[in-house]
Amino acid sequence: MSLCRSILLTAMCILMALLVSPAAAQEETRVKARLVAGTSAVEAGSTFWLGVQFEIEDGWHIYWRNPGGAGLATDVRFELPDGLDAGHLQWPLPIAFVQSEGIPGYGYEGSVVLAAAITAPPDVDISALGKVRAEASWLACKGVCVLGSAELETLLEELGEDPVFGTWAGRLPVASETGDLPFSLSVTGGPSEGAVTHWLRWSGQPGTVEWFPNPSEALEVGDVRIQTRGGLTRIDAEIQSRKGASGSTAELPSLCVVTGEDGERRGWELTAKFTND
Amino acid sequence: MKQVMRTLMIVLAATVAMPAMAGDGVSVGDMAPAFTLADSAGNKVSLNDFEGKIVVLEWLNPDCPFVQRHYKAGTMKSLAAKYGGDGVVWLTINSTNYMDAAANAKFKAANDLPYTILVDQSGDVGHLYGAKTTPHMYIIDGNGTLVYIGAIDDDPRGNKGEPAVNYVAVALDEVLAGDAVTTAETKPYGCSVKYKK
Repeated sequence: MSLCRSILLTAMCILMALLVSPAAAQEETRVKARLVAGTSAVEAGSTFWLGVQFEIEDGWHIYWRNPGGAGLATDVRFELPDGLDAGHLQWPLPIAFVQSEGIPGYGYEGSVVLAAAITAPPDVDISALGKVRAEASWLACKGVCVLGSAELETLLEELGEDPVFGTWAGRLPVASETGDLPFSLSVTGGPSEGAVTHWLRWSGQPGTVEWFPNPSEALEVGDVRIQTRGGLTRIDAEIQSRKGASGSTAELPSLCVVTGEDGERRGWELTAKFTND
Repeated sequence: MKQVMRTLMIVLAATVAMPAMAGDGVSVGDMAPAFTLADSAGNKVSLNDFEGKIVVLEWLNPDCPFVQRHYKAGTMKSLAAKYGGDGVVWLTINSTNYMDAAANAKFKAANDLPYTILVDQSGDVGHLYGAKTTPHMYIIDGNGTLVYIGAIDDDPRGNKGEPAVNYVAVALDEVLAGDAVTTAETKPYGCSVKYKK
Protein backbone atom coordinates (compact mmCIF):
# COMPACT_ATOMS: atom_id res chain seq x y z
CA MET A 1 0.00 0.00 0.00
CA SER A 2 2.70 2.42 1.04
CA LEU A 3 4.78 1.37 -1.99
CA CYS A 4 1.78 2.09 -4.19
CA ARG A 5 1.38 5.44 -2.58
CA SER A 6 5.01 6.39 -3.02
CA ILE A 7 4.94 5.30 -6.67
CA LEU A 8 1.82 7.37 -7.17
CA LEU A 9 3.42 10.34 -5.41
CA THR A 10 6.58 10.03 -7.49
CA ALA A 11 4.53 9.84 -10.67
CA MET A 12 2.58 12.88 -9.61
CA CYS A 13 5.76 14.76 -8.79
CA ILE A 14 7.25 13.95 -12.19
CA LEU A 15 4.05 15.02 -13.87
CA MET A 16 3.98 18.25 -11.88
CA ALA A 17 7.62 18.95 -12.72
CA LEU A 18 6.90 18.34 -16.38
CA LEU A 19 3.95 20.68 -16.25
CA VAL A 20 5.69 23.43 -14.29
CA SER A 21 9.30 23.49 -15.38
CA PRO A 22 9.04 24.44 -19.08
CA ALA A 23 7.12 27.60 -18.16
CA ALA A 24 9.45 28.44 -15.27
CA ALA A 25 12.55 27.88 -17.38
CA GLN A 26 11.12 30.03 -20.14
CA GLU A 27 10.42 32.90 -17.75
CA GLU A 28 13.93 32.81 -16.34
CA THR A 29 15.48 33.33 -19.75
CA ARG A 30 13.71 36.63 -20.53
CA VAL A 31 16.66 38.45 -18.98
CA LYS A 32 20.15 37.15 -18.35
CA ALA A 33 22.29 38.98 -15.81
CA ARG A 34 26.06 38.74 -15.36
CA LEU A 35 28.69 40.58 -13.36
CA VAL A 36 31.05 42.72 -15.45
CA ALA A 37 34.08 44.85 -14.58
CA GLY A 38 35.90 47.63 -16.40
CA THR A 39 39.45 46.93 -15.28
CA SER A 40 42.12 44.55 -16.43
CA ALA A 41 43.17 43.91 -12.82
CA VAL A 42 41.96 45.42 -9.59
CA GLU A 43 44.83 47.14 -7.83
CA ALA A 44 45.16 48.75 -4.42
CA GLY A 45 44.19 52.43 -4.59
CA SER A 46 42.47 52.08 -7.96
CA THR A 47 38.96 53.01 -9.05
CA PHE A 48 37.16 50.79 -11.53
CA TRP A 49 33.67 50.13 -12.92
CA LEU A 50 31.73 47.18 -11.57
CA GLY A 51 28.33 46.46 -12.99
CA VAL A 52 25.67 44.04 -14.07
CA GLN A 53 24.95 43.42 -17.72
CA PHE A 54 21.34 42.63 -18.50
CA GLU A 55 20.69 40.81 -21.76
CA ILE A 56 17.03 41.20 -22.58
CA GLU A 57 15.09 38.94 -24.91
CA ASP A 58 13.76 40.51 -28.12
CA GLY A 59 10.54 42.45 -27.63
CA TRP A 60 10.92 42.62 -23.84
CA HIS A 61 12.04 45.61 -21.79
CA ILE A 62 13.28 46.32 -18.26
CA TYR A 63 13.02 49.65 -16.49
CA TRP A 64 15.01 52.86 -15.93
CA ARG A 65 15.37 54.46 -12.46
CA ASN A 66 11.97 56.08 -13.09
CA PRO A 67 9.90 53.35 -14.74
CA GLY A 68 7.24 55.85 -15.88
CA GLY A 69 3.52 55.46 -15.16
CA ALA A 70 3.88 51.78 -14.16
CA GLY A 71 6.58 49.15 -13.80
CA LEU A 72 9.50 48.86 -11.42
CA ALA A 73 13.00 50.32 -11.48
CA THR A 74 15.75 47.79 -12.07
CA ASP A 75 17.80 47.35 -8.91
CA VAL A 76 21.47 46.48 -8.39
CA ARG A 77 22.99 46.19 -4.92
CA PHE A 78 26.66 45.51 -4.40
CA GLU A 79 28.08 43.67 -1.46
CA LEU A 80 31.78 44.44 -1.29
CA PRO A 81 34.67 43.35 0.91
CA ASP A 82 35.48 45.76 3.77
CA GLY A 83 37.31 48.86 2.62
CA LEU A 84 35.90 48.92 -0.92
CA ASP A 85 33.50 51.77 -1.67
CA ALA A 86 30.80 51.90 -4.34
CA GLY A 87 29.65 55.19 -5.86
CA HIS A 88 26.14 55.83 -7.17
CA LEU A 89 24.73 53.44 -9.75
CA GLN A 90 25.12 54.91 -13.23
CA TRP A 91 22.18 54.61 -15.63
CA PRO A 92 22.81 54.77 -19.40
CA LEU A 93 20.33 56.77 -21.53
CA PRO A 94 16.93 55.06 -21.46
CA ILE A 95 14.41 54.72 -24.27
CA ALA A 96 10.73 55.62 -24.07
CA PHE A 97 7.88 53.25 -24.86
CA VAL A 98 4.14 53.05 -24.35
CA GLN A 99 3.33 50.41 -21.70
CA SER A 100 -0.39 50.41 -22.26
CA GLU A 101 -2.92 52.93 -23.58
CA GLY A 102 -1.77 56.32 -22.24
CA ILE A 103 0.84 54.97 -19.79
CA PRO A 104 4.42 56.00 -20.65
CA GLY A 105 7.36 53.77 -19.78
CA TYR A 106 11.13 54.36 -19.62
CA GLY A 107 13.70 51.61 -19.79
CA TYR A 108 15.95 49.41 -21.84
CA GLU A 109 15.71 46.84 -24.60
CA GLY A 110 18.40 44.54 -25.92
CA SER A 111 21.29 44.97 -23.55
CA VAL A 112 22.28 47.40 -20.82
CA VAL A 113 24.95 47.65 -18.14
CA LEU A 114 24.20 49.36 -14.81
CA ALA A 115 27.49 50.01 -13.05
CA ALA A 116 29.07 51.93 -10.20
CA ALA A 117 32.61 53.20 -9.64
CA ILE A 118 34.36 51.09 -7.01
CA THR A 119 37.34 52.42 -5.13
CA ALA A 120 39.85 50.06 -3.57
CA PRO A 121 41.83 51.37 -0.58
CA PRO A 122 45.58 51.86 -0.88
CA ASP A 123 47.85 49.41 0.96
CA VAL A 124 45.61 46.43 0.65
CA ASP A 125 46.22 42.89 -0.55
CA ILE A 126 43.56 42.43 -3.24
CA SER A 127 43.87 38.64 -3.24
CA ALA A 128 43.00 38.60 0.48
CA LEU A 129 39.79 40.60 0.00
CA GLY A 130 37.72 37.74 -1.32
CA LYS A 131 34.49 38.06 -3.29
CA VAL A 132 32.39 40.85 -4.69
CA ARG A 133 28.68 40.18 -4.87
CA ALA A 134 25.83 41.87 -6.68
CA GLU A 135 22.16 41.31 -6.16
CA ALA A 136 20.12 42.32 -9.21
CA SER A 137 16.36 42.41 -9.51
CA TRP A 138 14.16 43.55 -12.36
CA LEU A 139 10.72 43.53 -13.88
CA ALA A 140 10.66 42.42 -17.52
CA CYS A 141 7.55 43.14 -19.59
CA LYS A 142 6.24 42.43 -23.05
CA GLY A 143 2.49 42.75 -22.62
CA VAL A 144 2.80 40.45 -19.63
CA CYS A 145 5.35 41.09 -16.88
CA VAL A 146 7.79 38.76 -15.16
CA LEU A 147 9.84 39.55 -12.05
CA GLY A 148 13.40 38.32 -12.10
CA SER A 149 16.43 38.37 -9.84
CA ALA A 150 19.98 37.10 -9.75
CA GLU A 151 22.68 36.82 -7.13
CA LEU A 152 26.06 37.13 -8.76
CA GLU A 153 29.53 36.83 -7.29
CA THR A 154 33.15 36.52 -8.25
CA LEU A 155 36.58 36.72 -6.67
CA LEU A 156 37.95 40.25 -6.81
CA GLU A 157 41.24 39.04 -8.23
CA GLU A 158 39.42 37.25 -11.05
CA LEU A 159 37.72 40.39 -12.36
CA GLY A 160 38.85 41.20 -15.88
CA GLU A 161 38.22 43.93 -18.44
CA ASP A 162 34.86 43.28 -20.07
CA PRO A 163 34.51 44.55 -23.65
CA VAL A 164 31.10 46.11 -22.85
CA PHE A 165 32.94 48.91 -21.07
CA GLY A 166 34.61 49.98 -24.34
CA THR A 167 31.62 52.11 -25.34
CA TRP A 168 29.58 52.11 -22.15
CA ALA A 169 30.63 55.46 -20.67
CA GLY A 170 29.58 57.15 -23.92
CA ARG A 171 25.97 56.13 -23.24
CA LEU A 172 25.83 57.87 -19.87
CA PRO A 173 24.19 61.27 -19.55
CA VAL A 174 26.41 64.29 -18.96
CA ALA A 175 26.11 65.41 -15.32
CA SER A 176 24.33 68.70 -14.78
CA GLU A 177 27.30 70.22 -12.93
CA THR A 178 29.36 70.42 -16.09
CA GLY A 179 29.71 73.90 -17.58
CA ASP A 180 30.03 72.62 -21.11
CA LEU A 181 26.39 72.34 -22.22
CA PRO A 182 25.15 72.86 -25.81
CA PHE A 183 22.08 74.70 -24.52
CA SER A 184 20.97 77.17 -21.91
CA LEU A 185 18.10 76.09 -19.68
CA SER A 186 15.33 78.05 -18.06
CA VAL A 187 12.36 76.64 -16.21
CA THR A 188 8.95 78.19 -15.61
CA GLY A 189 6.04 76.91 -13.52
CA GLY A 190 6.10 74.27 -10.84
CA PRO A 191 3.90 72.02 -8.70
CA SER A 192 1.94 74.99 -7.30
CA GLU A 193 0.91 75.92 -10.85
CA GLY A 194 0.17 72.37 -11.97
CA ALA A 195 2.50 72.66 -14.96
CA VAL A 196 6.20 73.01 -15.62
CA THR A 197 7.98 74.15 -18.78
CA HIS A 198 11.64 73.54 -19.56
CA TRP A 199 13.02 75.91 -22.21
CA LEU A 200 16.23 74.83 -23.91
CA ARG A 201 17.97 77.31 -26.18
CA TRP A 202 20.49 75.46 -28.34
CA SER A 203 23.51 76.89 -30.06
CA GLY A 204 22.45 75.07 -33.25
CA GLN A 205 19.68 72.76 -34.45
CA PRO A 206 19.35 70.04 -31.81
CA GLY A 207 17.82 67.11 -33.73
CA THR A 208 15.08 65.00 -32.11
CA VAL A 209 14.58 65.86 -28.45
CA GLU A 210 13.28 63.43 -25.80
CA TRP A 211 12.71 64.14 -22.11
CA PHE A 212 12.76 61.70 -19.20
CA PRO A 213 11.55 63.09 -15.86
CA ASN A 214 12.91 61.49 -12.70
CA PRO A 215 10.75 62.98 -9.94
CA SER A 216 10.75 61.99 -6.29
CA GLU A 217 7.77 59.92 -5.16
CA ALA A 218 6.19 63.13 -3.88
CA LEU A 219 5.78 64.50 -7.42
CA GLU A 220 3.63 63.22 -10.24
CA VAL A 221 4.66 64.25 -13.75
CA GLY A 222 2.56 63.47 -16.79
CA ASP A 223 1.25 64.55 -20.19
CA VAL A 224 4.66 65.51 -21.60
CA ARG A 225 4.67 67.55 -24.84
CA ILE A 226 7.86 68.54 -26.66
CA GLN A 227 8.15 71.15 -29.38
CA THR A 228 11.31 72.30 -31.14
CA ARG A 229 11.28 75.37 -33.37
CA GLY A 230 14.61 76.51 -34.72
CA GLY A 231 17.03 76.53 -31.81
CA LEU A 232 14.39 76.58 -29.09
CA THR A 233 12.89 73.49 -27.46
CA ARG A 234 9.88 73.79 -25.20
CA ILE A 235 9.07 70.84 -22.93
CA ASP A 236 5.66 71.10 -21.24
CA ALA A 237 4.47 68.70 -18.57
CA GLU A 238 1.78 68.52 -15.95
CA ILE A 239 3.19 68.36 -12.43
CA GLN A 240 1.45 67.81 -9.12
CA SER A 241 2.64 67.08 -5.62
CA ARG A 242 1.29 63.96 -3.95
CA LYS A 243 -0.32 64.92 -0.66
CA GLY A 244 1.48 63.32 2.25
CA ALA A 245 3.97 61.34 0.14
CA SER A 246 7.62 61.46 1.16
CA GLY A 247 10.25 63.06 -1.05
CA SER A 248 11.27 66.46 -2.35
CA THR A 249 8.81 68.71 -4.16
CA ALA A 250 11.40 71.49 -4.40
CA GLU A 251 13.19 70.12 -7.45
CA LEU A 252 12.68 67.95 -10.48
CA PRO A 253 15.66 66.05 -11.89
CA SER A 254 15.28 64.94 -15.48
CA LEU A 255 17.18 63.88 -18.55
CA CYS A 256 17.18 65.52 -21.95
CA VAL A 257 18.21 63.22 -24.81
CA VAL A 258 18.96 64.32 -28.35
CA THR A 259 19.22 62.05 -31.36
CA GLY A 260 21.35 63.63 -34.07
CA GLU A 261 21.08 63.05 -37.82
CA ASP A 262 23.68 60.31 -37.53
CA GLY A 263 21.40 58.43 -35.11
CA GLU A 264 23.74 59.07 -32.19
CA ARG A 265 22.01 59.74 -28.86
CA ARG A 266 23.43 62.16 -26.33
CA GLY A 267 21.91 63.07 -22.99
CA TRP A 268 22.22 65.70 -20.27
CA GLU A 269 20.94 65.72 -16.72
CA LEU A 270 18.74 68.71 -15.88
CA THR A 271 17.53 69.91 -12.49
CA ALA A 272 14.58 72.25 -12.20
CA LYS A 273 14.39 74.08 -8.86
CA PHE A 274 11.05 75.29 -7.60
CA THR A 275 11.39 78.24 -5.26
CA ASN A 276 7.80 79.11 -4.41
CA ASP A 277 6.70 75.65 -3.16
CA MET B 1 -29.64 80.21 -6.83
CA LYS B 2 -27.12 78.03 -5.04
CA GLN B 3 -28.25 75.05 -7.13
CA VAL B 4 -27.84 77.08 -10.33
CA MET B 5 -24.35 78.13 -9.28
CA ARG B 6 -23.41 74.54 -8.55
CA THR B 7 -24.72 73.40 -11.92
CA LEU B 8 -22.85 76.21 -13.59
CA MET B 9 -19.66 75.22 -11.77
CA ILE B 10 -20.03 71.61 -12.81
CA VAL B 11 -20.56 72.66 -16.43
CA LEU B 12 -17.51 74.90 -16.19
CA ALA B 13 -15.44 72.15 -14.66
CA ALA B 14 -16.56 69.77 -17.40
CA THR B 15 -15.57 72.31 -20.06
CA VAL B 16 -12.15 72.80 -18.53
CA ALA B 17 -11.60 69.08 -18.13
CA MET B 18 -12.71 68.15 -21.63
CA PRO B 19 -9.45 68.61 -23.56
CA ALA B 20 -7.77 66.23 -21.13
CA MET B 21 -7.00 62.81 -22.53
CA ALA B 22 -8.73 59.68 -21.41
CA GLY B 23 -6.74 58.21 -18.55
CA ASP B 24 -6.07 61.47 -16.79
CA GLY B 25 -8.30 60.19 -14.05
CA VAL B 26 -9.20 61.59 -10.69
CA SER B 27 -7.38 63.35 -7.86
CA VAL B 28 -7.67 63.22 -4.09
CA GLY B 29 -10.47 65.57 -3.05
CA ASP B 30 -12.54 64.89 -6.18
CA MET B 31 -16.00 63.37 -5.94
CA ALA B 32 -15.65 59.73 -7.02
CA PRO B 33 -17.18 59.47 -10.49
CA ALA B 34 -20.17 57.12 -10.77
CA PHE B 35 -19.88 53.87 -12.68
CA THR B 36 -21.81 50.68 -13.28
CA LEU B 37 -20.15 47.39 -14.23
CA ALA B 38 -21.17 43.75 -14.29
CA ASP B 39 -19.46 41.51 -11.77
CA SER B 40 -17.95 38.13 -12.56
CA ALA B 41 -21.40 36.53 -12.09
CA GLY B 42 -23.08 38.99 -14.46
CA ASN B 43 -24.81 41.12 -11.79
CA LYS B 44 -24.81 44.87 -12.32
CA VAL B 45 -22.98 46.78 -9.59
CA SER B 46 -23.01 50.58 -9.29
CA LEU B 47 -20.88 52.76 -7.06
CA ASN B 48 -24.19 54.47 -6.12
CA ASP B 49 -25.35 51.21 -4.51
CA PHE B 50 -22.95 51.99 -1.66
CA GLU B 51 -23.92 55.59 -0.97
CA GLY B 52 -22.80 56.68 2.50
CA LYS B 53 -20.29 53.85 2.81
CA ILE B 54 -16.53 53.84 2.66
CA VAL B 55 -15.49 52.08 -0.54
CA VAL B 56 -12.08 50.68 -1.50
CA LEU B 57 -11.36 50.20 -5.22
CA GLU B 58 -8.56 47.78 -6.11
CA TRP B 59 -7.30 47.40 -9.70
CA LEU B 60 -6.56 43.76 -10.45
CA ASN B 61 -4.78 41.68 -13.05
CA PRO B 62 -4.27 38.05 -11.92
CA ASP B 63 -1.42 37.69 -14.47
CA CYS B 64 0.67 40.43 -12.87
CA PRO B 65 3.42 39.22 -10.50
CA PHE B 66 2.82 42.09 -8.04
CA VAL B 67 -0.84 41.09 -7.77
CA GLN B 68 0.16 37.44 -7.46
CA ARG B 69 2.52 38.27 -4.60
CA HIS B 70 -0.21 40.12 -2.69
CA TYR B 71 -2.78 37.39 -3.32
CA LYS B 72 -0.34 34.73 -2.17
CA ALA B 73 0.23 36.76 1.00
CA GLY B 74 -3.53 37.37 1.37
CA THR B 75 -3.00 41.16 1.57
CA MET B 76 -6.28 42.21 -0.07
CA LYS B 77 -8.39 39.45 1.38
CA SER B 78 -7.35 40.09 4.97
CA LEU B 79 -7.78 43.86 4.59
CA ALA B 80 -11.24 43.37 3.08
CA ALA B 81 -12.19 41.02 5.92
CA LYS B 82 -10.75 43.26 8.65
CA TYR B 83 -12.41 46.47 7.46
CA GLY B 84 -15.55 44.73 6.21
CA GLY B 85 -16.43 44.47 9.90
CA ASP B 86 -16.46 48.27 10.02
CA GLY B 87 -18.78 48.46 7.02
CA VAL B 88 -16.07 49.17 4.44
CA VAL B 89 -17.00 47.91 0.94
CA TRP B 90 -14.24 46.32 -1.15
CA LEU B 91 -14.65 46.41 -4.93
CA THR B 92 -12.01 44.89 -7.16
CA ILE B 93 -11.96 46.07 -10.77
CA ASN B 94 -10.23 44.18 -13.57
CA SER B 95 -9.58 46.40 -16.61
CA THR B 96 -7.40 43.78 -18.34
CA ASN B 97 -8.61 43.75 -21.95
CA TYR B 98 -8.49 39.97 -22.35
CA MET B 99 -10.17 38.95 -19.07
CA ASP B 100 -13.89 38.29 -19.35
CA ALA B 101 -16.44 37.37 -16.67
CA ALA B 102 -15.45 33.68 -16.79
CA ALA B 103 -11.74 34.43 -16.27
CA ASN B 104 -12.59 36.67 -13.30
CA ALA B 105 -15.02 34.12 -11.85
CA LYS B 106 -12.27 31.51 -12.05
CA PHE B 107 -9.81 33.74 -10.16
CA LYS B 108 -12.46 34.60 -7.54
CA ALA B 109 -13.23 30.90 -6.97
CA ALA B 110 -9.57 29.81 -6.95
CA ASN B 111 -8.75 32.41 -4.28
CA ASP B 112 -12.05 32.02 -2.40
CA LEU B 113 -12.58 35.79 -2.51
CA PRO B 114 -15.36 37.21 -0.38
CA TYR B 115 -15.59 40.36 -2.51
CA THR B 116 -16.85 41.23 -5.96
CA ILE B 117 -14.67 41.42 -9.06
CA LEU B 118 -16.05 43.90 -11.58
CA VAL B 119 -15.32 43.25 -15.24
CA ASP B 120 -14.06 46.31 -17.16
CA GLN B 121 -12.70 44.85 -20.40
CA SER B 122 -13.42 48.09 -22.28
CA GLY B 123 -11.15 49.90 -19.78
CA ASP B 124 -13.72 52.72 -19.49
CA VAL B 125 -13.80 52.76 -15.68
CA GLY B 126 -10.02 52.29 -15.49
CA HIS B 127 -9.53 55.35 -17.71
CA LEU B 128 -12.21 57.27 -15.79
CA TYR B 129 -10.22 56.82 -12.59
CA GLY B 130 -6.80 56.98 -14.27
CA ALA B 131 -5.78 53.55 -12.99
CA LYS B 132 -2.21 52.91 -14.19
CA THR B 133 -0.93 49.90 -12.31
CA THR B 134 -2.02 46.61 -10.83
CA PRO B 135 -2.53 46.95 -7.99
CA HIS B 136 -3.69 50.61 -7.91
CA MET B 137 -5.76 51.54 -4.85
CA TYR B 138 -8.46 54.17 -4.30
CA ILE B 139 -10.44 54.96 -1.13
CA ILE B 140 -13.76 56.81 -1.26
CA ASP B 141 -15.15 58.14 2.03
CA GLY B 142 -18.78 58.14 3.15
CA ASN B 143 -19.37 61.47 1.43
CA GLY B 144 -18.26 60.09 -1.91
CA THR B 145 -14.94 61.95 -1.87
CA LEU B 146 -11.67 60.34 -2.95
CA VAL B 147 -9.40 60.37 0.09
CA TYR B 148 -6.56 58.06 -0.97
CA ILE B 149 -5.01 57.18 -4.33
CA GLY B 150 -1.87 55.17 -4.81
CA ALA B 151 0.09 52.08 -3.86
CA ILE B 152 -1.06 49.30 -1.55
CA ASP B 153 2.10 49.63 0.58
CA ASP B 154 5.64 50.99 0.66
CA ASP B 155 7.32 47.75 -0.39
CA PRO B 156 7.23 47.44 -4.20
CA ARG B 157 9.83 44.65 -4.25
CA GLY B 158 8.37 42.75 -1.35
CA ASN B 159 11.84 42.43 0.18
CA LYS B 160 11.95 45.29 2.64
CA GLY B 161 12.86 43.00 5.51
CA GLU B 162 10.86 45.11 7.95
CA PRO B 163 7.08 45.33 8.19
CA ALA B 164 5.75 47.27 5.22
CA VAL B 165 3.51 50.28 5.80
CA ASN B 166 0.15 49.39 4.29
CA TYR B 167 -1.06 52.78 3.07
CA VAL B 168 -4.63 51.54 2.57
CA ALA B 169 -4.90 50.22 6.15
CA VAL B 170 -3.43 53.44 7.58
CA ALA B 171 -5.81 55.58 5.50
CA LEU B 172 -8.85 53.45 6.40
CA ASP B 173 -8.00 53.73 10.11
CA GLU B 174 -7.88 57.51 9.74
CA VAL B 175 -11.14 57.69 7.77
CA LEU B 176 -12.91 55.46 10.28
CA ALA B 177 -11.62 57.64 13.14
CA GLY B 178 -13.01 60.68 11.34
CA ASP B 179 -9.52 62.08 10.69
CA ALA B 180 -8.06 63.47 7.50
CA VAL B 181 -5.84 61.03 5.62
CA THR B 182 -2.19 61.97 6.24
CA THR B 183 -0.64 60.09 3.34
CA ALA B 184 -3.36 60.71 0.77
CA GLU B 185 -1.36 60.09 -2.41
CA THR B 186 1.53 57.77 -3.16
CA LYS B 187 3.20 56.55 -6.32
CA PRO B 188 1.45 53.34 -7.34
CA TYR B 189 3.63 50.40 -8.34
CA GLY B 190 3.01 47.27 -10.37
CA CYS B 191 2.42 46.17 -13.93
CA SER B 192 0.74 48.63 -16.27
CA VAL B 193 -3.02 48.07 -16.60
CA LYS B 194 -3.38 46.09 -19.83
CA TYR B 195 -5.92 48.35 -21.49
CA LYS B 196 -7.76 47.58 -24.69
CA LYS B 197 -6.00 49.28 -27.61
